[in-house]
Amino acid sequence: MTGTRAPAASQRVGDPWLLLAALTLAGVGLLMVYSAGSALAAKRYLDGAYFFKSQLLHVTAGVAAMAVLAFIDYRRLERLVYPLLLGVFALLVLVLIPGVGHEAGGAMRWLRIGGLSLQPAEMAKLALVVYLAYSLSRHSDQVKSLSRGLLPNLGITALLIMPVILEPDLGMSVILFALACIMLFVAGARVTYLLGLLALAAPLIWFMVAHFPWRFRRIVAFLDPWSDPGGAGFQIIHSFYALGSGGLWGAGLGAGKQKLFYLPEAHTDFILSVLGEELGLWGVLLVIGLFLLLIVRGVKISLEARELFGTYLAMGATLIIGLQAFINAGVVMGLLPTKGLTMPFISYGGSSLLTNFSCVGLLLSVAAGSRRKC
Amino acid sequence: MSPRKPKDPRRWMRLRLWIVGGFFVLAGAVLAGRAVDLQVVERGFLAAKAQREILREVEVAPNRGIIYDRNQVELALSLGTDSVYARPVAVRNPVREGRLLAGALGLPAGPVIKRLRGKRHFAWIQRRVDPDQAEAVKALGLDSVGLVSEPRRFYPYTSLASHVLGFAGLDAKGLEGLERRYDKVLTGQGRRVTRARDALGRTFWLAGQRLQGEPQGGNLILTIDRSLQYQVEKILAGAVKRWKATAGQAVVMVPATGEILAMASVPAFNPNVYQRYPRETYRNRVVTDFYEPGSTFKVFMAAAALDSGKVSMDQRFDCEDGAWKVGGRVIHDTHPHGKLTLSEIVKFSSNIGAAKVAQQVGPVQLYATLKAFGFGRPTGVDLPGEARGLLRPARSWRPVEMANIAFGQGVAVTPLQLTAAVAAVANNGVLMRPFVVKAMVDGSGRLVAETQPQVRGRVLGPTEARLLGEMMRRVTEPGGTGQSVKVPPFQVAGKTGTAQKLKPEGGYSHTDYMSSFVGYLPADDPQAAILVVIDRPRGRHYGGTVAGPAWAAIAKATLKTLGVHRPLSLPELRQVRGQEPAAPAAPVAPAAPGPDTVRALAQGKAPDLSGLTLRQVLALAGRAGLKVRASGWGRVAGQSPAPGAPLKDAEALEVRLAPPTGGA
Repeated sequence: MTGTRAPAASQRVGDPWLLLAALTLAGVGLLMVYSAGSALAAKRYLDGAYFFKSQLLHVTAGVAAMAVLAFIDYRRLERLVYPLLLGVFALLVLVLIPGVGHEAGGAMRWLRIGGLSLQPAEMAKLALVVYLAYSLSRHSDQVKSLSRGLLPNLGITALLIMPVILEPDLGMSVILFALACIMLFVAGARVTYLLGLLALAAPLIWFMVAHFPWRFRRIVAFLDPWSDPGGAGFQIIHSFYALGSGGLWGAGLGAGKQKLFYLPEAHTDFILSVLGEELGLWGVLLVIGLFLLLIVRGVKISLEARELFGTYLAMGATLIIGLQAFINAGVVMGLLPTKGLTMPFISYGGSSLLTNFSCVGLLLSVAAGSRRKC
Repeated sequence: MSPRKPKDPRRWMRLRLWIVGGFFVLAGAVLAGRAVDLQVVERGFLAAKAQREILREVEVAPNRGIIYDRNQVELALSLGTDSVYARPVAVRNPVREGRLLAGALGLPAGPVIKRLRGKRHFAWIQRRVDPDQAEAVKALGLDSVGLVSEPRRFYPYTSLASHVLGFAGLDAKGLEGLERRYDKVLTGQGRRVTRARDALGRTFWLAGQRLQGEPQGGNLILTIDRSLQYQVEKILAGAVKRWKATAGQAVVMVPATGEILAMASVPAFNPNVYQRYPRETYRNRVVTDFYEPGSTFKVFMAAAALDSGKVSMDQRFDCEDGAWKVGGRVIHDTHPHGKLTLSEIVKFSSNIGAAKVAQQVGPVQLYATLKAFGFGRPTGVDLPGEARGLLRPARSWRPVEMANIAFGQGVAVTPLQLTAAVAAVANNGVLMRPFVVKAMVDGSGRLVAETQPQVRGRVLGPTEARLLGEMMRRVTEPGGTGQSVKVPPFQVAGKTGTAQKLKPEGGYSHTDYMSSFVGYLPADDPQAAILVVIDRPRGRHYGGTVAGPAWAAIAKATLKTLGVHRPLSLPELRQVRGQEPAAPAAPVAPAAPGPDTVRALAQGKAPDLSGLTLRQVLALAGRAGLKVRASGWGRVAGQSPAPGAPLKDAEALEVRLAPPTGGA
């Protein structure tokens, strides 16, 4: 990076380390999706490689999206902010309409368009970040104001969160809320306001949890998984089993046993458990390390951005990936209550891959922009 | 806005950005720490819990061993049959799935639906279903329903040798016959194995786990010849039916070795469905039941006389013209006789003569001879439930009792005891232990144990045995009670028996008899000792008339099975005798089809294939365009058509193979 020998490559790519981290994670993800999902795929689709093939397709699409975003100037997005916001909002509302939205596991989270399955909430993260970056950079002098700085931005955030809560997808709502808070914090919003906001949100979240018994059980299971090992604690306990069985070096790729229908959502939300069982502690540390690398490079890009929009955009994009990765890891390791969030780049899921690769594309674009300036 | 203007707003923003970055680094450290906690610190505890859930120690029951006849034909074997189970917890629509399942299995829908309800993880629907039903269940493609293989005991020849084989119950435990006697051998050793299962209960194999085959119980190879057994049973059943008798038994034994070639008891039962038969039919009466032998016993009276040396061959006994009073009771002969030699007493079966000979021999000698021949003690046959018969010690005999014993009353013998005793006469006076299990072989075909012929004792000198055999041969000559028993061109040595049955209220019945014929053939080179007993025949009751024809038919079948085609000439005899103590397992030089063989084939006659391997037979037959049906293994020991017989067009050549050094 610091060398002057390869400025051309750096300029072209924006940030090779970031790209390396993202591609490595996606590669590990492909392997793990194949391994963790093959038993289920064989049972459900009579093709053990079903999830792998699908994931490969989406990784390809994600990389293409990333490449496109990396090579166009991110500043063009400023003009697209409102269309993007409106479009995503429309999709979020659309997904709630019975018959249009596709229900799975008691929640309406997916849109089926042709053969494609779309999760609008994933795009909501991107739309929110682009909007906040635009808004906060445009009105940077008003950020500290409650009425003209904080509230309008929170209003738009709430507009996006509401349909997501209705899906219902509490995990994603919390992510969106956290994204907004952190971006406002970075942009200079008063910490007292933000704390007040949290104080306001807490009873709301408590209501959301207490009102739905299954969410309540999740919280109880988080606090003491062993109190109900066959019920609420089942998933997290089997995640522990997987990680514990993996030990330092792991059972070897493909040799995990918890994925054999013991651990629910082995190829999606709990893929890190399977990774921990098969690749061991070193595998888990590698993944955490790669995400940290990605975050640190993201923060660096944010710091070095040419103007505020780039800074906020890079920050938001980094947060989309980093927040979700660490929250997911926290859930898998029993540090946070079960949310239903996937691990970026690694978990099975097309919309999530597209969003995360888009974030990397934006980061690369910002990085390239700042280099051009230098 | 703010009264204090920050010097550089970007600096504050950078600081906040660093705070966010630092927060993530901190969170990453916490996550890494937690990963170390789970994967290193708590590893033992968690991994053990996971193992406990995944691994299941299961007892793998061995496959019950196979019972073969002497030619490796399977008489009893265990086959996997499918049992249908369901996982009620996974059933979405119990009514729909229950109806489908009941339809496929031909069961009423109600109980099936009931079983599919609830939250259980496992429920049997139907065990051991037919293959078509299993197919039908598979075709339904229900996720919640599965099949497991459970072994079931099969007796492919149904009632064949049912009393010898016995049967094993549903839980694969031997309940009768050889199945019971050799239960431990057949069951073999089970194995406790640790199997890994996925959460759906399916077994999977761990890397590095040694794959072991199913444990296999030991197999038995019998001395019984399936084909002969079949014929014996058929002949016996025919005789029982013809004489409207209640029961019948027949035994074919090799005198030199004690091997039982056939052992039949009528009525028989089908061990595949043993539950449908009354318990008393399970009994192998050849070994478990004893009866008064009647005149067949005179053979042993004569043996005692010869052994004592107190009776000369030309000494004549006055048979009192049919009635003689001894010890206050009158003994009768069926036909009145004058003075008879010992040989004639046997030939004409005179009770009075027998009683007089016994008097002359004396109770001590008579008892000693009878005891030596194995009466009153078990033969040691390897079948369960053997009876010892009834022979009271000589001291307790009153004169009339000794007279009665001389012609087979007041003693009781099992059919097997009688056969073995007569076989001893045929075997130059050496009594052999009868046996039905020739060898035990383990699951992979290795020989575990082979039964060696076992001598129980010399009961008669060779000269006396030959003399006795000659007396028995005369029984089947014109004038003898067994004159109708003919197996040309062979000479038969035998003895008839017509015993009155004891009435339940005491005394002898004048309507119920045990008609029997016991003997061996060929008389000059005994190959088989045979007994036929017909219990309570109607119409006629003389042993020669009732049991004789069946005996002759069985004898014929036996000789054919053994491959004895004609009486051997003296030089041939010497040759055969000379080979008898052949070196064990001496490699037999592979006989090659000679020019005679090829010439016979060219002339359209069956060649002599004996001693050839199956491969050679097939090569020859291929050249001549003949089909071959083979049974057994080893070298050709028998064939059909016989050597020299014309080969009809398109007829298959049947060969029976036997191990070159094996047995009889």
